[in-house]
Amino acid sequence: MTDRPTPYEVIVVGAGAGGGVIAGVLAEAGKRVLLLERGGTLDLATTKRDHLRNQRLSAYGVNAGPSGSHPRVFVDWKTGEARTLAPWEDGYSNNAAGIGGGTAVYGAQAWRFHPLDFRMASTYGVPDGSSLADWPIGYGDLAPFYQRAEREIGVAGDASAMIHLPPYEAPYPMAPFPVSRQGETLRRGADALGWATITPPLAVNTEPYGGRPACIRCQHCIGFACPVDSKNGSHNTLIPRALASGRCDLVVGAMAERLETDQAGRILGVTFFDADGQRVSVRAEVVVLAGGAIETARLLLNSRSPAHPGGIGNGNDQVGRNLQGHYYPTAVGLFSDDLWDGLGPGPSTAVTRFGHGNEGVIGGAMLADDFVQTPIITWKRRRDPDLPFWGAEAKEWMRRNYRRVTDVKGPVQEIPSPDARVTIDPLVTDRWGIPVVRLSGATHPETVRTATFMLDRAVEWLGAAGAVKIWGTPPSLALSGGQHQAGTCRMGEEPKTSVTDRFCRVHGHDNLYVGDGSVHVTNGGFNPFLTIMALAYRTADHITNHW
Amino acid sequence: MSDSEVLSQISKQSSSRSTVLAPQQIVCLSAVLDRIIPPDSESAGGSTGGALTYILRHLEEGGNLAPFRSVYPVFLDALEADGFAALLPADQDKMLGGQERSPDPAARRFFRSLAEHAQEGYYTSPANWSGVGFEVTG
Repeated sequence: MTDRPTPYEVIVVGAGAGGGVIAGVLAEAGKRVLLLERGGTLDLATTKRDHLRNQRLSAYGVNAGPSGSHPRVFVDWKTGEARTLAPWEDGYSNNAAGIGGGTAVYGAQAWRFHPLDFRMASTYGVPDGSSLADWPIGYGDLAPFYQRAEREIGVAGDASAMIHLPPYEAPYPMAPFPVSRQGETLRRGADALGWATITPPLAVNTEPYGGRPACIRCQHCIGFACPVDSKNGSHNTLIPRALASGRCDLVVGAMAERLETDQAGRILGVTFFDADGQRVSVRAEVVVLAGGAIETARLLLNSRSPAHPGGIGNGNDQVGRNLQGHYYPTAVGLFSDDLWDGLGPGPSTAVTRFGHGNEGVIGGAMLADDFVQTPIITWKRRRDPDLPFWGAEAKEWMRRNYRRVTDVKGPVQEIPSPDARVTIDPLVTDRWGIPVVRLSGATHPETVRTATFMLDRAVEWLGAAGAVKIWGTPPSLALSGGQHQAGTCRMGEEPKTSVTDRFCRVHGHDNLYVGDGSVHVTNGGFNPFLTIMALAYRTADHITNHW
Repeated sequence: MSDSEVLSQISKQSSSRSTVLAPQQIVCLSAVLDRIIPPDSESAGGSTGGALTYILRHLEEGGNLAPFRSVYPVFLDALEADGFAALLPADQDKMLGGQERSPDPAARRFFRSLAEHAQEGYYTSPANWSGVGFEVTG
């Protein structure tokens, strides 16, 4: 093993939305930072435009990692059957692995969570069998950091339209995208129902911003890297800033194995395998874990020692529990005229009235139209369920209707279950010999009820907008996670029911922080990246002020 | 075009080279693909519109469809035993309909997979994008 000299004050594991922000803020604040990332550069050249191997449709592979060297074990909650999965297989819960993480290839919907998203338990009560809880912080604690993320990452939106939120302190730095033809149709439907609409805020440049050009409205946004670098994430903002400071070293191809601790529980540093497969140990005063909700939990659980037999931060058997993502009930509407005007990125119209206050269900979701869908995704996921799967009729349907179908969908806030969890598989290891995760359990049944309610609202909206036929798959109980994975190291005041404190510091380990969606107590009824970043800014400030 | 003409054309096309399927099997597959995605006055069918190229390429080692490489020849030989490629389109459809509704679940599953492979090849082929209205501008 190589024991590197320790020029670093902080090690950040994972260069995604959260890790990138934390590295940037700390490096600019004068800290010497080591940023470890198991993947590499995610740009057009590396991620390509394969319509069958991308972050939106991973039929045979992924375009943004991780590689096949990173298996996981998935346990079907119904049958108990365990299968070892490659990163592109159903159930793996893949998220991009590389510089920028998911933000290099995402859709960039830049929503803030709703104030009640932080107070789910006190708003609705805790259903039997659920671990639903309030966050230890509220919307007001995060608002200034949301604003900072919107400015520094670059978000296009209309603050005055965000009627479901308290007034913003500052406008978005860029005007929103224009309303598309599809959006105009959906707005007519919403008007007829009396539902207010919003143009979804996107972290995509509608004008030159941050030294990068305006969006060219291409058709390969979500799931792919931006061809002109106008889609904003940590890869083209905070990580370059970290590197430009001269105080951050970014090491790619670095696979973290374990955290090293002393007898008292103080974190000494991180052991990882470098790109050449050499085991390296690096020390620092502070370690931040930001590998995503599944890999962060894995690293903590794999850091067993005599003093910490269950792993780091896991004295109360909480690490890895409450895994959640978002249910995405989706209604597809077929219209009698072309709806899509050929322009990206796509989401043009949202409704936020069903985030909370829905009779008989807990929480809810924002609903919106979707990103541009490739022809093969339309074939696989949006075609009329009554259509034959081969023959002239199927071909004619695609030709006639590709531009006439649209989706309405929304990220349903999940009701967490303590049994939806990440543990360590006792048998399977990856190519470095590190035990892999075992994903098991399912969300709480209340999630399915809320998702069913939201599917009905999506159908209602498409009907009011004039769809001639509408279909969608009724939600059923399953394990969630995926690109919106969260919850496995949740924040809380009480170590018995949480993993980190209100500043995302692991209980019992003063110099260990979590900087990704793991800390979300609940995951909001919105896309989560802006909340991950807002928390990361807040955590970085806390580290700056305390170390 | 006669079978021998089709065979000679296939052997000339580099995109039709296969280490998995024999030329006669490729002729049969072409006929199947043209019933799954029939050619018409506006656009190509499966055999010339990308589905054949995709399936042949991805049956090779490391391809998307490599796990199916032993099943394709068996399926195509069975069809060809009944002279599939020489049948009229309506009769070909009847035979494929028999596969779709076969009492053998494995046969039904394979036909469904094959049809999906055809659609994957066809709708990921850029030549067919503007035909459905997917225009790439950047």
